[in-house]
Amino acid sequence: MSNGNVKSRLPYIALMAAVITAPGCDLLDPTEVVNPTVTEADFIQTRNAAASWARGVERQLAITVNQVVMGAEVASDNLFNNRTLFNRVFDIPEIEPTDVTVIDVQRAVHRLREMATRGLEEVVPADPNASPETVAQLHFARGYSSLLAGELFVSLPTEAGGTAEAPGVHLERAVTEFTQARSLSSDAEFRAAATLAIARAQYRAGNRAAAVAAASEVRGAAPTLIRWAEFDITDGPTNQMQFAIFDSGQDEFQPLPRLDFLFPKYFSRTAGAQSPVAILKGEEAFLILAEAAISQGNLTEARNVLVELLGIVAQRPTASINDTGQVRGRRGGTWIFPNASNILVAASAQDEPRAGLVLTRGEGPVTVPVVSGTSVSAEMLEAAGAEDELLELLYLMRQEIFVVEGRRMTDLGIRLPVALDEALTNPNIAEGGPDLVARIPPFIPLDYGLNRFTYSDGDTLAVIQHNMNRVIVQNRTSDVVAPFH
Amino acid sequence: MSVPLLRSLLGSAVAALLVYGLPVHLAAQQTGSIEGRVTLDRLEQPLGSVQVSLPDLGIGTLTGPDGRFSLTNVPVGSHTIQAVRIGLTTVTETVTVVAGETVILNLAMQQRAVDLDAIVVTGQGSEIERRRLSTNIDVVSAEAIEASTATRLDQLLQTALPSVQVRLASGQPGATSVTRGRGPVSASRATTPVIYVDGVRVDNLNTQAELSLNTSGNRRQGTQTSAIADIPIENIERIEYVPGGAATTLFGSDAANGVIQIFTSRGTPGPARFTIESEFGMEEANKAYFHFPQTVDLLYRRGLRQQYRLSASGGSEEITWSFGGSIADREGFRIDNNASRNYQLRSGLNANLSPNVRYTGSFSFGYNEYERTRDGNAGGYAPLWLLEAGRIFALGWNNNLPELSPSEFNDLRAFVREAERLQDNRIQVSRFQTSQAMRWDARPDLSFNATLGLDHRTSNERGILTNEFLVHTRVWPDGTDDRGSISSYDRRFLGLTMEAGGQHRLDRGSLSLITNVGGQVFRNHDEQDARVALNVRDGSETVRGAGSTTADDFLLQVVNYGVYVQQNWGFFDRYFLDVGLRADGNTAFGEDVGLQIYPKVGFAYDLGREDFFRRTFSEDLVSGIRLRGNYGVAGNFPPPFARDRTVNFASYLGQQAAGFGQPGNPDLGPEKTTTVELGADLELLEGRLAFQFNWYDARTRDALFEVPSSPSTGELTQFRNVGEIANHGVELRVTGEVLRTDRVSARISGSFNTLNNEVVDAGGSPVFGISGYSAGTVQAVVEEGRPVGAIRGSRSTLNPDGTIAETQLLQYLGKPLPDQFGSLGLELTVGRSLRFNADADWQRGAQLHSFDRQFRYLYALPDPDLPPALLEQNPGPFRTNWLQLTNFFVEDTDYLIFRNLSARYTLPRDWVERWADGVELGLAIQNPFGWWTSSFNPETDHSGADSQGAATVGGFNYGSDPSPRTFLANVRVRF
Repeated sequence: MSNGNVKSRLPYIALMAAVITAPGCDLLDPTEVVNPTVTEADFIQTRNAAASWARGVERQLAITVNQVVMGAEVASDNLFNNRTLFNRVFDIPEIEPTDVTVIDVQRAVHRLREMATRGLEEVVPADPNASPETVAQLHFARGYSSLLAGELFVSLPTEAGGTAEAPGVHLERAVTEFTQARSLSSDAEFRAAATLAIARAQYRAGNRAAAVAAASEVRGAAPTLIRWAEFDITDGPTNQMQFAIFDSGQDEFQPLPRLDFLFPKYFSRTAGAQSPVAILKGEEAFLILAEAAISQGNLTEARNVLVELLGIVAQRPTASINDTGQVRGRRGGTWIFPNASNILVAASAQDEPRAGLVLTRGEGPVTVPVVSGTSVSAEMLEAAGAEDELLELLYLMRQEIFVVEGRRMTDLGIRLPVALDEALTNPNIAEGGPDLVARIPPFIPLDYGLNRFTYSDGDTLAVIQHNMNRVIVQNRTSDVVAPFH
Repeated sequence: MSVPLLRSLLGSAVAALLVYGLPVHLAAQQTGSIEGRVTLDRLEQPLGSVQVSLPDLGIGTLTGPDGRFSLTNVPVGSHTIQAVRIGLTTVTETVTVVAGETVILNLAMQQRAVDLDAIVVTGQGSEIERRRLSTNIDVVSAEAIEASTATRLDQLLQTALPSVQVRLASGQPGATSVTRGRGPVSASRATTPVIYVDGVRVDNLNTQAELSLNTSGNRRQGTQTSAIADIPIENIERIEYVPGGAATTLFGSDAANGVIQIFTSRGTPGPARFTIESEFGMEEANKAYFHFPQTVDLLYRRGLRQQYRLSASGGSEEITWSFGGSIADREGFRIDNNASRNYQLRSGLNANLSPNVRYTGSFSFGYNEYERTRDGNAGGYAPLWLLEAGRIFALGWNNNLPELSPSEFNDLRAFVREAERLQDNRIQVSRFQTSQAMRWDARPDLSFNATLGLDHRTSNERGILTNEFLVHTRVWPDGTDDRGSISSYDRRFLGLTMEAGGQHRLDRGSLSLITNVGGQVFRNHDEQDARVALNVRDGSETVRGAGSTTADDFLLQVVNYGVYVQQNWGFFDRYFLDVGLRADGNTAFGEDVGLQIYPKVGFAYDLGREDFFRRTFSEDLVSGIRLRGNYGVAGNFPPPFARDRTVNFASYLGQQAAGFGQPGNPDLGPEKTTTVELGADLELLEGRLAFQFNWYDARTRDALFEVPSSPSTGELTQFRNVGEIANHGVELRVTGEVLRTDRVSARISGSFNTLNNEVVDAGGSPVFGISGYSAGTVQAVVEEGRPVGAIRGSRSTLNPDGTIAETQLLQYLGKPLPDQFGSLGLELTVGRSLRFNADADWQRGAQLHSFDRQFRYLYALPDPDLPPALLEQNPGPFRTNWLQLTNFFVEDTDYLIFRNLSARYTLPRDWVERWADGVELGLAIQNPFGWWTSSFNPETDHSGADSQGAATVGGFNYGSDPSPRTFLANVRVRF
């Protein structure tokens, strides 16, 4: 076909192309898009949505525990952030409502509550397969959120956009939720955990009788109970505290020298499994019972309970860990920390130096507790004749047993403020109000006083500046520490 | 009009124009008998694409790349011949054609400061004369592009656009840039203009992709890879830029940041003409940018580069073609991990299917490879952090590098070299673009056009961390064998554009009316995959067989569809009224948001054509004066799918776990920027000197903020239209010939721009960070009453003894946006063959934070700019109050930096005419020198965005490679 033929036929070619393809015009409508993410409306209609949601709530629990542990431990005397990653001012302690850690902890605590609530109010009612155990789990999670709110914050809203309520309100709610969870579940271990959670909430609320009742139940039924927040090294969340004390290899967080022997509490148990973090463990029941007994002047009972607790602690597993990567600040850390077993540690200038608190890590594996450990012995408990001495040992045991579990900040009476972001977006909370002021008790030493100690590389003695367990005891009648006193 | 109806009409209209818009008849062509060559000024430089015509007879042609033209079958007699091209003064001469003979006619054109008769397209729906417009359009000519030594589009535009700042964020190849024109109109969305190539919207992602390689700690804190860097720049005929406002109203929900439109060459009639070019060069680090000169000795080298180009074009009166291709290879100026290789080719075709139907098509393909090195906040082995920020002490060296003994220095050099050798981060990008267009001149006063095209960009970013690297850099102890990892990220972008429209021209005596009507649809499909393998054996380059492997994916789709109508009224060829409207739908809008309307109205007044004006000022003195003003609205559509309330799923302990996704927002709409602009254009001395003035006030309402939800809701963030952002300023430009003798002429250009940016209303949302680090350290934030990207951190005041008197947290410390900025250019022509160019840009009133410096303080290095008492109070080895003193590390970054110095020599024609049409030799230096006020590099900063497509504002200088100084020599042969 010549070029001229093409030209002369072009109108017909165009017409034919038009006729042939006109029905296909719809194919040129390109406006259809598909969101690859499932909308909430679609999700609720899917099968077994409640079970999936409950797992999401469990995951959120792990995320929340991560945030709490990373914030609360730095704000206590347990750890010092020896590098630049993570929060640098909680060590001082300087806790502002603008601090990203305050915002993150508050958001994580609320997210746990709101996710549990969404599950209970929207997902479960739409899912005919939702089991009582799933519902119990959601109540437990909502209770744990309230427990954290009551333990960690000056005050917090109990609902989205609500007014800030005092810790007692949150603790009361926690008890209600745990009680409901317990009544729904037929799993004995879960029920015991809920009971222990009730004991913990009642303890913090200062309700001695109720706390003792629940703790006694646990002491009898499940003294070695543990409930974990579990991490997922593959898909997250990963254990951030494990990263900071072990995985990073950069000496991020360093323990108070008297706690060195308890580290690293977290490490990868296998290549694919990180350490979980205990959120409830049987030891707490004994500590509550012993503190209740001390507060009532019954030192013998307290001593007996604590000796029994030593037996529980002794039953807990230990692990042999290669921790040679840990050089206690000698790889560019801000401070140098004791790093050899010949180094003695005095809890303060007034305390006798003690041996065995620091491990040598560069010469081979070290053996460390993976659930609970303590330097307190039965002999020390026997020797503690006075109430003050026994209470100080009890708080040392609390410090050691709960180390890197996010509990010490509360024991020291420190509480986080409501985040400024909440005040800016919640009309019920005033921007300049008291809810936005952290509680740092006047007996808390500032300017890194919680973490300071005297030690130079090569010394055989490290002297901690402040024995905070003694400080707690000295201030036990204050409203902010030792709830039974 | 409902959205479905609009969609349906658009689909049908596009289909109809593509299918039915074919020619209905073809006709024969004629030939002429005038031949000649058009050159630039007195130089030997040929000018292609010049329209040479005999207006009286209605015949014409275009010059080829060698500047030659030929008109045949021209009737005998005396005729006026005209040569016209954008950016050049029109040349008119009289020619007498004698029967049976060929008249040889050579024409010389001069550059014109402002060419009001130029035909422009961008933002107008179709071609229109610049003089009729109420808005300003910047045009970068083929000559400017050819003269540039730039190797990527944003680098090319760095000095070519007088009122735009283009800042390359890093000296690493393929890295992102920040484009700042009339200030950031958004606080949440990218500030990059949208880019069209031959009418087809292309990928302009200038931030990290959702799934992408992380060599910088948090990805926003280091180098990110830009899709702009790999847009082929071969075979470009011209580039148009409009800054937003009324000029971009016809682009609707996609153009508040402005539009860059690239027009590629389709060739000109005539025999095939070729240009080949070889370029060799060397890159080096400018020591002035570094705190320790030793850093340059340890990390940098003189890296060689080479580039080869071939272009060709030709064709007949009915079909023309064009081709351009290049291969470039750079060793890089780092001792390792800085190399790049690029292959680009582009072809264009223009076919007159009949006297009134024209097909144009262009195709391009590019393949690019870049290496990456760890930088920014990467931690571990991040070499600039180790060396410049003092961290190297942690690995056992004295961090005050000048104090190192020769043997210590050699040890450190060996350590660094091995660490560099063991890094392995690579990026590969392939890109295919095409544009297919048809134009039908149905009647002399009525034409239709349709364009269909796509941009397909695929990339892979891959990083391998070997055990050997981790052990060598002491991240893990000796003997570690299970920490090797591979991270590999694929991204596939497909952008489709369909546009169809018509133009009608009406001339009734003193009235002229141009009406444009059209519709446009574009669709972006962005698909990403990630594979991360842990416990990888050294030597493995594949994730197969790793101890564990995880995968992730991401999909983003968006469609924007709209119709527009525009009328340009002209009265007495000097009063012009411009009105237009665009209606847009977009799949990213919330379900309660309907079509969005974008109006514009403007005027232009060609005062120079008034008789009363001419009676006072002659054309020799005031060649032209024009006043204009406009009002227009343009938009930025929200992130796709941000409107939906979703559930997120995660794998948790091997099982599916559901949780909160995004809260959703059914009212999510575009942010809309309303701009009012007034301007004036003044041409003096026969167009040799020109001034241009613009004043603008742009206000973005319903600005998209990714608002943090109230913590008590447990939700995270959600895009909402809650903000208001204001930008206003003036733009003053001057261009002109300041010297002209028999042998020497000099042209200068300069611009002075002011910029005032403020977040007027944050809509009640808390201050949120969009770049930088954590709130407790230093961040670029969005805060009411401050510029977008305000630098925020701790501010301390000192007592005389150096102790801290007071520390205030979260304070305003500065802003990365300048108060004033501009460019300077000089072009010097000596004789017929020699030309020098110098280009520079400058800014005043911006600040940057130097984390390198702040770390040096932490690590107890001396700092002559800090109060001695402060240093005495804090002897170290760690100055733990470092984060309280952030205000001391934010500095003014005023600068004047030369971007390019070049000389080009054209060999005399009689030396080469036996074997070539022309030979040019060139020498150039990029980034030769500059002046700045800061103690650190004032412009290279990590302009990291928080997420894909988020705002980039810069503000932080931390472990980043500066742009290299480059020496180039090239030879260009045309034949």
